[in-house]
Amino acid sequence: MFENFDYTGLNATLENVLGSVAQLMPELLLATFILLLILIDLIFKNTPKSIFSIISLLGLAGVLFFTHRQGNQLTEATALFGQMLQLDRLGVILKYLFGISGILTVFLSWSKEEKDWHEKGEYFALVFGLLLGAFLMVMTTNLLMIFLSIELVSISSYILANFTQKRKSAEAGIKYLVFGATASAVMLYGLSFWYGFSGTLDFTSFQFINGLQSAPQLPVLVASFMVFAGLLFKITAVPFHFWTPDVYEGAPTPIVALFSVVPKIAGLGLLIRLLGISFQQNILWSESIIWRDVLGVLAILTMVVGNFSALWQKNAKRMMAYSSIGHSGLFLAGILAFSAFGIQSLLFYAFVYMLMNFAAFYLIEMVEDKTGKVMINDYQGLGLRIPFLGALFVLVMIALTGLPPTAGFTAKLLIFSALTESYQEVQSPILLYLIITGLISTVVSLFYYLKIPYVMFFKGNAEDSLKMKLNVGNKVLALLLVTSLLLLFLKSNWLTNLIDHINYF
Amino acid sequence: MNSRELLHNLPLNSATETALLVVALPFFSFLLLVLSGKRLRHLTSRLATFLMGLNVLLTASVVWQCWNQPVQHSRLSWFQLLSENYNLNFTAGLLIDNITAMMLLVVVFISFLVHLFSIDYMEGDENYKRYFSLLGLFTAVMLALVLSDNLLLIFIFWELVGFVSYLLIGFWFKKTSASRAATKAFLVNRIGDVGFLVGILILWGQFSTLDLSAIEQLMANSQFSNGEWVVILQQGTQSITNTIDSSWLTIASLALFLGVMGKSAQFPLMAWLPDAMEGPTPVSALIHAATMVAAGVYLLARVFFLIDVEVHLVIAIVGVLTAFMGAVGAFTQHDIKKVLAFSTISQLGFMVMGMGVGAYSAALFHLMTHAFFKACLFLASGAVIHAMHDVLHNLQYEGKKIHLDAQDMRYMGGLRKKMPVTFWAYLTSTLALAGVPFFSGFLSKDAILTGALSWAKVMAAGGHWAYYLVPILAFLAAMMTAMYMGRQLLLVFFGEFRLPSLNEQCKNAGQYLKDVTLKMKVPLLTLTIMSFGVLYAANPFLKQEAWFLSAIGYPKILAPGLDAKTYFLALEQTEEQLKVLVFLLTVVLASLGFFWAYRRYHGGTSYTRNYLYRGDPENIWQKISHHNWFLDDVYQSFTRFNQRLALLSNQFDKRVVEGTNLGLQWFNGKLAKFASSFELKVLNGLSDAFGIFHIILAHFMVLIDRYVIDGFVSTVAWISGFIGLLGKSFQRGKVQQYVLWTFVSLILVLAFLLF
Repeated sequence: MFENFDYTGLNATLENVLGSVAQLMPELLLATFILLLILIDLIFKNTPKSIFSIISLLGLAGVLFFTHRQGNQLTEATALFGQMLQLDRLGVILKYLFGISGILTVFLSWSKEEKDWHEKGEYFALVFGLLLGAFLMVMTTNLLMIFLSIELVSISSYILANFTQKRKSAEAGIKYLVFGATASAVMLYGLSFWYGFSGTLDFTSFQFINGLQSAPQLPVLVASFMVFAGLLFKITAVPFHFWTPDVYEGAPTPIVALFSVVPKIAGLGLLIRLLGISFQQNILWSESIIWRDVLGVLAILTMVVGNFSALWQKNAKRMMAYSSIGHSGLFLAGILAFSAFGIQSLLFYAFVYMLMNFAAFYLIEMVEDKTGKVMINDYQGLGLRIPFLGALFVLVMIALTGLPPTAGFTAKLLIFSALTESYQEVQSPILLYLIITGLISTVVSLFYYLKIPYVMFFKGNAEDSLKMKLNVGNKVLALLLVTSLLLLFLKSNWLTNLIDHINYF
Repeated sequence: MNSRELLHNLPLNSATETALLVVALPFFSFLLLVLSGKRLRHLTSRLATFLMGLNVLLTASVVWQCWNQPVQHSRLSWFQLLSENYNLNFTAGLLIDNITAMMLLVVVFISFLVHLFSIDYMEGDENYKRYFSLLGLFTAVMLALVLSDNLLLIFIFWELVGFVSYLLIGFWFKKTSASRAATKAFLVNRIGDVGFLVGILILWGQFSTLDLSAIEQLMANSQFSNGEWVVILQQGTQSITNTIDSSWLTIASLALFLGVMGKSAQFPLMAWLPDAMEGPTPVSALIHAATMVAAGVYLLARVFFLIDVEVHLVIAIVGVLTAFMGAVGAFTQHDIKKVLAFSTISQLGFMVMGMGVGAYSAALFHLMTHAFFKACLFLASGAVIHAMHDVLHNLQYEGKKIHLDAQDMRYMGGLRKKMPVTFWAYLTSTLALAGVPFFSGFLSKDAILTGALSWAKVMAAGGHWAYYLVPILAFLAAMMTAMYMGRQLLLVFFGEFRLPSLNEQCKNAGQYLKDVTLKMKVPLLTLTIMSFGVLYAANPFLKQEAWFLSAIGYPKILAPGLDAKTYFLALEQTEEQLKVLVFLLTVVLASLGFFWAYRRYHGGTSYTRNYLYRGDPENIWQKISHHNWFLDDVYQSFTRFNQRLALLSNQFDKRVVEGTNLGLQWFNGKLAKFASSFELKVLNGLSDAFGIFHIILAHFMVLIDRYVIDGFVSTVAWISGFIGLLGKSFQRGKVQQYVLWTFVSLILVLAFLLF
């Protein structure tokens, strides 16, 4: 009785783990660099920031390289670590996006003045930590992993938001922490219910689907909404958006750019996975209660609140916060098309959104860095004094609005096409409302986006404007970002080729 | 053992239903007080007391039904988890046996008296209502802890009593010392709780259930062989064998005991209890003397059957060390409550030691008698503090500028003439605490000491005389109890009232000194009666006649390595031989203690004459006592050591690394210079050309915007602006509000989903 230990099970598990590790190079590299950056910071006390930046860039380049190789080798979705993670196209594409965002964040942080920085190595290590969390978020198929990866992202974010330790920044950090902890608690509660119903943590498994289907419907719905609440917090959808403006206003600008892209897109990726599986397996979809309606209403509210509140903002970063809330609404709408085309358009949009947001925040940061001003009214006459900067602002704002000749237009066009296509197929009225709200909010957004160029060119004059000069590095990076926005408008198939064949519905 | 049989539902019966009501009533009182308006403060305190009085009757009926009856157990399935091969059933239920019944009675009765006492004691406090609501909450969760039938529930309520205790220690949170003490108690208790949790997890891993009665059966059926601990679980036709190294049983026992050490203030986690005296005195009586701190001993009794045999020795040693160290700590305190706090630590040490030496029923007996006489002591000290406070208050009212500590014994003395009721209560309970015959403490302490001595004799049969150290220390601690309590009694109630001779301003302090009101006297007198031995044994000299001891009987020991039957038989026989010796020893030691205290502290000695001006302790022994063996400093030096280490390594870094850095910086500068010259020449021209193009574009865009779209849109703009303002108005910058709004909308969406 005591001798029949089963070692085959253990051996198989160990082999699975070892085999999985080999397939996890990008994540391992990220983890290694977290340690490396912290160690360097500890051992060499006065290392200048540029050294850390270069190391981080090298690391991220390596991560992108391995992600690329992962993508090339990938033939079909593979389960890793006994269904803890799943490696598939969706994950790889989003990991590209995160890697690039990481590189852009490092570049944005480059020009930040040294005096604000005490723990340089930690800053970069935390950025890496956030990225690692995001990488895991878009790969996970396990309830516990969902929570762990989200927390990894969140905890890195809390510290980063508070990084400069100025009063505003600290306030932002605490607000983010309190709000985030609440959202996490709600979500964890929902996850525990899911586990209770099914007895398994693997949400792709038959047992999970079966468990949720056979459990009473009402509690399943409540639990599911609690889980979605945690994700909606990450993608700053209404009513989980309250923290966004305060945090964006208070946190260092490169970090805000990172916040507005990586956690949000990671949350979307996870939502796609969860909804995709539940949609395919018909778990949460019944005659009487349709998630499309619930999430659709939230998406509409998100667009309305984001875009309309942005109209009143006087602080450029706060305005961008509301703008990013508005974009989240459209992202959600893209998911709600529930079609392969919808997901593909969403991914295209996500890439363009990343470029637009980093470009916008970079421009805002240049002004902030050199003059300390972030209020839109302070930009008076700046466009006349530095036409180059003004022109870039115009282009970026046009892209954010979604007008040609920028990729912002293409992205919105794709989303709206996907929505229209789905509407024709299923005739669900909520899709129609989504399209209408999307179009109206695009018009509304024109006003606040173009407010910046308007103030820059038509208010005040060049003599009284802020005194600042751009250096060449600034110009090149800004130009690169904006050019890519134009290029993707002209050659959108570069990106679409990459994200073809992604199908979750 | 089939899990379905093990964990099947047990319906409520009349006893458990009443017990449920007993828990619900104080909770109802808590809710009522929280929800009622501030103006009703007087009414609410009386209502809370009335409800608690009602609860005493209810509890009495529960105890009536359950005493010496078969165990009453009601249980239902709380929730189930489906794991791969086993259906994990979490149950929740009530279990009433003799121990539970005793605890119920102690908690409810003392809680009622404390409520009654507090009506006048807390009068005039601005947070009167919060105080009574917290008392209600504490009583509810403490009762729930006592009634819980499984470790998970016990843990939950364990945390809750800790939390309410935290709130009540920090009741006057505006005082820095109070909020610090609350934090300290909270943190130290967390250390113990980690242990408790680890223990729970190990047991869960082995048994897949936390229900204590199920664990007992599974433990009885588990096998120990070749150093391995095998538990076989069966569900339907499936059977699962859990095998781990048997050292895990030792670890689990130690972990659970760590939890006990935290809650019951055992060495070395005892430093929080003296500080906890920052809370209101009736709270100290209820929570930090009678009930919550005894929860550790209660838990130990509950899990005693699975405690590893080797750990018994650890328990005995920790217990006796605590008893001794606590007694030493009580010697040099000037704060009337601190003396009692240290004596509580010491007495808890006695109980824990009793558990360790197999004097199981004696330890629980001491828990009960101690709860009553210690609550009496605390309430009486509360009465003294209240009276002193009144004196100081009246002096201040006269216009005297004095700020003195009402708890300081140096200003007291001779109170017996002015406060006779309080004095008699204090005297009786002191005699009980010191273990004088005729009083309750004698019976229980004598039983524990007999147990300790016979345990040492049985264990030392193999030639290990070191076992005798445990009873020796215990007897010493027992003698010291009489010494420090004698000191306190003499300093507070005998001699002259010292405050008037402090200075000119306090000259007529004596005329303001008076005994407390009737509402405070009644609890004191009730508890005084409870301190008499006749209530517990027909013949107050013979502990063998105590009804309580025979009702509890001997515990089960299911851990391997000890046969419970022979073990307890041996102990019993030895006790029979030693009982006269121990009786004589106890009486002699207590009398010696009191005699010593009288010689040193009676009215005319130099110590008493100079006591008013006595400062900090002088010699090393006094310092050890006053600073509680410097435990706080030991804790702090741990932290300080870590800080030093960090500082040292930091300096090392600086020296060694500076050179390397300089090189790196030089290289960096070169690189930057090169890059910037490249930028200047090549890129500037390019970007300027591009910029001009964009300006033209921008002008164009803005023109279109202004002249084409503006007119059409101005109406729309107004509407959008309005909506935006609406959305923005939720955004007030307060994070609590954000969270609130989020929850409101979350609930709205859920409501939409449901209907």
